Amino acid sequence: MGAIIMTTVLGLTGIAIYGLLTRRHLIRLVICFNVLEIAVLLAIVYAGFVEGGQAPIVGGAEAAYVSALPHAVALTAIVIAASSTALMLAYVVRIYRTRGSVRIERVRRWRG
Amino acid sequence: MAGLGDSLLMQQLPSLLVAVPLSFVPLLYFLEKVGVPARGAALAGMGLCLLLSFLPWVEGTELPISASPGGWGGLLGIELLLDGRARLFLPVISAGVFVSALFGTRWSQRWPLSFYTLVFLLFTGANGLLLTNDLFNAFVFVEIAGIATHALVAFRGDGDGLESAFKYLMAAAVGGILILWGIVLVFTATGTLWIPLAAERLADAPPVFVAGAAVLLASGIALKGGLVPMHAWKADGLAGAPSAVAALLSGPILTALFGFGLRILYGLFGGFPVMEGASAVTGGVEGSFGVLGSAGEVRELLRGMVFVVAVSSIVAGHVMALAQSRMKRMLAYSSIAHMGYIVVGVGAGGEAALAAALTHAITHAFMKVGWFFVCGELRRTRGTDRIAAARGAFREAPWLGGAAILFSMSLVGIPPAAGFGSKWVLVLESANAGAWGGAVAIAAGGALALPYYLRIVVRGFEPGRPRAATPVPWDSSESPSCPEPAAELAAELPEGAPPHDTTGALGVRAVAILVCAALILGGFAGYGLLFSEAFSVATELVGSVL
Repeated sequence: MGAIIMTTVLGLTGIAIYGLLTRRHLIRLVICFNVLEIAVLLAIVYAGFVEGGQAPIVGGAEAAYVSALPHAVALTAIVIAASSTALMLAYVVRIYRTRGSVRIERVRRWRG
Repeated sequence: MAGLGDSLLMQQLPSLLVAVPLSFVPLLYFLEKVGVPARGAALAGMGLCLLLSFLPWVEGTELPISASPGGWGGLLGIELLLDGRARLFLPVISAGVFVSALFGTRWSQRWPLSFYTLVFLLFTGANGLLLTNDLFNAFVFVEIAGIATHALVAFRGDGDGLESAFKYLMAAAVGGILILWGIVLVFTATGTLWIPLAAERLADAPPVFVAGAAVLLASGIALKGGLVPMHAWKADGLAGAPSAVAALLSGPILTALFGFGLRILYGLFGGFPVMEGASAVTGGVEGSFGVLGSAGEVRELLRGMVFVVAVSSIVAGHVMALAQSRMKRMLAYSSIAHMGYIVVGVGAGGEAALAAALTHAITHAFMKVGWFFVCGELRRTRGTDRIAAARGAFREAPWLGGAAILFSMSLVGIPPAAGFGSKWVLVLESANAGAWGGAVAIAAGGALALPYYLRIVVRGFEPGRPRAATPVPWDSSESPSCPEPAAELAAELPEGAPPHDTTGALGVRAVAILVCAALILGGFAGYGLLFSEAFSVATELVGSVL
C-alpha cells in the first residue's frame, strides 16, 4: 500500500517537474503545477493514514484514531492551489489577449 | 501608561496584528459604500497597524507574548508568538507597507478599492508569517501574501505586468509546494505541526526526514526570496510591476520571509553549532547539522554549498545588475545580491554576524523601498524606467537626486550611511568564522555595486533631457520583434486613465519620509541603537540553541 502510494507520488512529481522544465505552452505549465500539487496532496493524506484507524470524533473512537491535521492541511492546500490556478488561468487569458499567443517564446519579451 | 505591559491589549497583540489588517479587507468595501474613500480609510487602517506594531517596544513589555485565538493552546489550536525577532521586524513591515501605500501608483488611484484591499491582504500575510508558531499557518500566510502580491504585480493589466505576474506566480507557486513538501516531512516525522513540539520530536527523528525537511523548506524559502540557483524569475517578476508594488515585494515581503526563515532555523531545527563556523542557506539546511550531529564531513559539505549559494547570489546579483538598462530590473538583481549578504551573515554564525544580518535586512528593506520610489518618480516624470531616460532628472528635482545619493550610499555601504556598519560587521565576522569567500564577496560587492548606482546619479545630474522628452505610457520600443503594437497597448488602458502626474505630491511626501528614515538609520546614534537591538535578538536566538 505504502509503496504503491509513494511510487505514484514520486512518479507524478517527476512528470510535473519534467513538464515544468520542458513545456513551452502556458496552459501546460499550469497543468504541470496542478499535477505537482496533487502529488503533494496525496503525500499529505498518506502521512495521516492509520491502518484501521477511525475518525477523531469525541466518544466515538475505540480503536486507534486518525489525526485530522493532515486532512485540514490537504483541504487548505486544495483551496490555495485552486485560487493560484484560477489566477494563472486569468493571466493566460489576458496574455493571449494582449500578446496573441500562449507559447512562451512568442510571449516573453524579457530575458537576462 | 502604567499597566499597559500586561493589559488585555498587550496579551492579544499578536492576534490583533493579524486580525486588524485582515478586518480592513472587507471593511474597506463597506466603508466605501457609506461614502468613506478607500484611500483615506486604508491609510487610517495602516496607521493603526503601524501604531500596533510599535506597541511591543513600550517600556515594561515582557517578551515573548503568546496568544492562542480561541484558547485551544498551541497543540490543538493556533499559537501566535511575538518574540524579539518579531518585535524587531514588525515595524519594518508596517512602515514599508504604509509608505508604499501612501505612494501608491496611478493605477491605485484608478481602482483604489482593489489596490488597498490587496495591500491589506499582503500585510496580513506578512505579519502572520512573522508571528505564527505553527507550520500549517505559516504555509497559509505565505500563500495569502503571495496571491495578493501576484495580483498586485499584474495590477497595471498590460502585457508587461501580466508577463511579470505569470512568471512570478509560477515560481512562487512551486516554492509554495516545496514548503508544503517540507511540512509533510515534518508531520510524518513528528505527528505535529506546532513548531516547539515538532522541534522537540525532530531531535529523535530519522536524520533523512530532518535533512529532507530542512532542504525542502530552505529551498522553498530561497525560491520565494530569489536566491541564486532559483533567481531567474525575480527581475522579470519585478520589472512589470508598478513601482510601489516592487517596493512592497523588496521591503515587507522579503523581511517577512527572512523572519520566517529565522523562526524555522532556530525554532524548528534548533539552530546550528555556532562557534565552529558552520553556515547556512536561509532556513534549515544547517539546522539539520544539529541533528545529523557528529557527521563533520556532511557539515563541511553543506557549509560549502551554502556559501556557494550566498557568494554566487552576491556575484551574480551585482554583475547582472550592472548589465541592466532598466532601473527596476537593476534594483531586483541588486536585491538578490543583498539577500546573499544576509545569508552569509546567518551562515557565518555567532551573535555579531547574526545581528549584522538582521540589521542589514532592515536597512536593505528601507533603502530598497526608497530606491523604488525614486524609480517611480522617474517613471512618472519620464514615462519609463530606462536608465538612459534619467538624464537631467535630478537636476530638475535636486531633492530626488539627494534621496537617490543617500539610498545608494547606504546600499553600497559608504561610511556615514546605514549600510556600512552592517557590511563591516558581516565582513569581519565571516572572516572570523573562516568564511573567506563570503568576506571577499561582500567586500567586492560594494565595488561592483558602486558603478551602477553612480551611473544613474551621474546621468541624473547631467544637463539636458533625453531626446524622447515626451513621456510615453509604455516604452514598446524595447524589442521591435515583439508582436505587441503600441496601439493595442493603448487600447488596453481603461478609458480616462489618470495622467502621470497625479501622484506627484504624495510621491514627494513618501520620499521625504524615507529620507528621514535614511538619516535616522544612517546617523551613528540611531544605527547603534538598531544594532544593539538586533544584537540582543541575535543573542536570544543563539542562546536558545545552546
